[in-house]
Amino acid sequence: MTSAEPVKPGFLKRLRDYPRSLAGRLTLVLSLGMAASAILALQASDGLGHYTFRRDQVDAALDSAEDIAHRFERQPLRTANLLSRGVILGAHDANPAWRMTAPDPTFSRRLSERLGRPAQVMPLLNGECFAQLTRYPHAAGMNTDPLPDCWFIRVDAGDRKLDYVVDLWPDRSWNRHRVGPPYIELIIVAGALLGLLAASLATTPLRRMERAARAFSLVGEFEPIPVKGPSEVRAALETFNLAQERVREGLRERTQILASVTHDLQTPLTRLRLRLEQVEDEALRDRLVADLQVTQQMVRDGLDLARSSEIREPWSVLDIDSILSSTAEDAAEFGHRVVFSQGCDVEARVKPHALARALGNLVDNALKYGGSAELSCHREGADLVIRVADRGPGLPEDELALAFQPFRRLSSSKGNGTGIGLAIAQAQVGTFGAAIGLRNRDGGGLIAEIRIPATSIRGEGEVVRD
Amino acid sequence: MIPQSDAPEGRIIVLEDDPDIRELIAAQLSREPQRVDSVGSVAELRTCLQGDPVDLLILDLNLPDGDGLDICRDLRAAGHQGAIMMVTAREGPIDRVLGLELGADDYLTKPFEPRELLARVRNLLRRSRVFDGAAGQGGQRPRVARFARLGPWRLDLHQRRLVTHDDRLVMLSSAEYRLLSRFIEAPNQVLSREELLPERSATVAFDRSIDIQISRLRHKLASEPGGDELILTVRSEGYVLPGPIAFE
Repeated sequence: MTSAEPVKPGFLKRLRDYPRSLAGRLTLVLSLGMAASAILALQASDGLGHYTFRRDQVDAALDSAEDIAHRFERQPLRTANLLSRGVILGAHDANPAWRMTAPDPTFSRRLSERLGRPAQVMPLLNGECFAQLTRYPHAAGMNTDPLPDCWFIRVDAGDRKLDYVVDLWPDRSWNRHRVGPPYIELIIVAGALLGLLAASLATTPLRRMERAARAFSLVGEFEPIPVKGPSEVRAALETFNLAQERVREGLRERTQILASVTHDLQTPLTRLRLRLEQVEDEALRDRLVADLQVTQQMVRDGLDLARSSEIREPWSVLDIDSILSSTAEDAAEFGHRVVFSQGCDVEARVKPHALARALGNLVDNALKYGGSAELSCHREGADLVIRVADRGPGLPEDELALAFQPFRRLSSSKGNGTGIGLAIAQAQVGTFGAAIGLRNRDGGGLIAEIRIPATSIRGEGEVVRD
Repeated sequence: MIPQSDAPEGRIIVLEDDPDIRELIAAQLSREPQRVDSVGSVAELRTCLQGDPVDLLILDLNLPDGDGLDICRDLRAAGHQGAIMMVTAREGPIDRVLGLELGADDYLTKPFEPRELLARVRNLLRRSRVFDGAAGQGGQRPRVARFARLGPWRLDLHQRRLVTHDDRLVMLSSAEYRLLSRFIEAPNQVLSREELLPERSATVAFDRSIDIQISRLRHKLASEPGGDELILTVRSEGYVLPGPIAFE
């Protein structure tokens, strides 16, 4: 077999290949990238939030400290009384055992500037601030963690020193882990979904282009792709259409040249053929007629090959068994040993003339080298395979693939013929997306197989519209 | 214009711009009973058509002062009744269908076998007589008919295949097509084996090949619902296709 088996990747293989596909890469980049950038952004906003909270917390604490100092100035006894009773929210008495061991220079300086007299500030953790609460048992659901930190403040009031404590705002974010499990998972999932969306956006026009390119290269259909989609894709599609147009122009020109050359040859050949009727010597006439027929066949083959790539034949749904039996019967009528051995009861969407032409060429080859031909068809997986088998000498393995090249003579080739029968057959079936493979037959002989892809098949009774 | 025969039984015109081929075709046809006129251009043809009725026009497609396809269409539009055979170097299924669609009765590609030309000319003239007979009985087959209706099938008269109502195709072998054509030309007539297979009339009474062909044909016709029993057997006489046949 020279034709490639159609690739039908399993789910696992598709999964394995996914990271190598554009869609896979986009999904991967987007999901990881989104997760990373979201985490970074959350961290940054967290940090900023924390910073502003600290700043406002310090400002508020300075306000409290200044307020209490002024109260002491205006109503020293009442203030000392209220503080000792612990009824002022945010300020209370200092523990007399505390010492101003490690004042914070920045806070101390700022408070001194506000009060206009020397003051010292020593930040304390909530465990020390509320040491009295740790001595007693507490309710099971509570501990000292949510309690605020505090500042131990000493203001130099000339003759005496004022010691008191102001509470800081409690940091309510202590139990909030912003960048944690649900966030990251959500972000990754959202990223993956977004990646799939982006991938489908990016790959849909690519797919369309791929399909068009495939139709162009396999079936030889020159249908311009509709130019739509994002601007880059539009540019690519326009370029593709342009290239396709160029190829078509080239082919048309080639066909035109060949057609006009052969057309011009037809007239003298016709004349020659008619004149040969006037040759009296019958043996000579027969030989001349035979020579002329070979010449005509060459001209016709050349034209066929040139034309085969741009067959304008419309598609039709065809009963495959009927074309095989007709081909066999027509050949049998000319005394050839051609049998139709096995049908498949399948209808396929093909170009009937092209298929008939290809079958004719394969049967001619089989008759030329094998003296007889056997036609059959069967399903191979979802594909339809039409088989033309002979009992000739077959071909050396290394020549099986070469046989499709035009004008290549194989070692077993006989004298006449242009050697493009197979090339024409291949081009003809190519017009409807099929391919021909050759292989040697068990027990001698050659098998040519026309493989019609599953997409063209309509099983008996089942209706496939496309 | 070269009159070819003393007592002609009808008239054939050959329109071909190459003088050699024109002469050679005329020479081929010289043994036929019809009078053969050869012309080299559309203008000459117009003059020539003024004369006696024409049974067959052999028409080249590439002409110095016109296109054969246009001539064919014009003649048919003007109600020309004679047969038209296109002889051309344009080959390909589409050209052929186009030619037949525009009203030609046959299409022969150059270079051709002289014997094939003769065979086709005779066949066309025979068919013309059949049409004339049919016209006498009510004119069943229009000349530009593309399809003949057979139960659930349409027989494509240009491309020799059967078409279902939803445009699916079933191919016919040449022998099957010949058989069907015979039946369509003579619906409601019991056709003997000799009449169905005249080229083998010497042996057809003994061999069973005609029965095998009929059986194959029936098998193909029966593949569509309602397609069985289109061709009936008449014991010891032959076969018959019940009519009437509609053309479209």
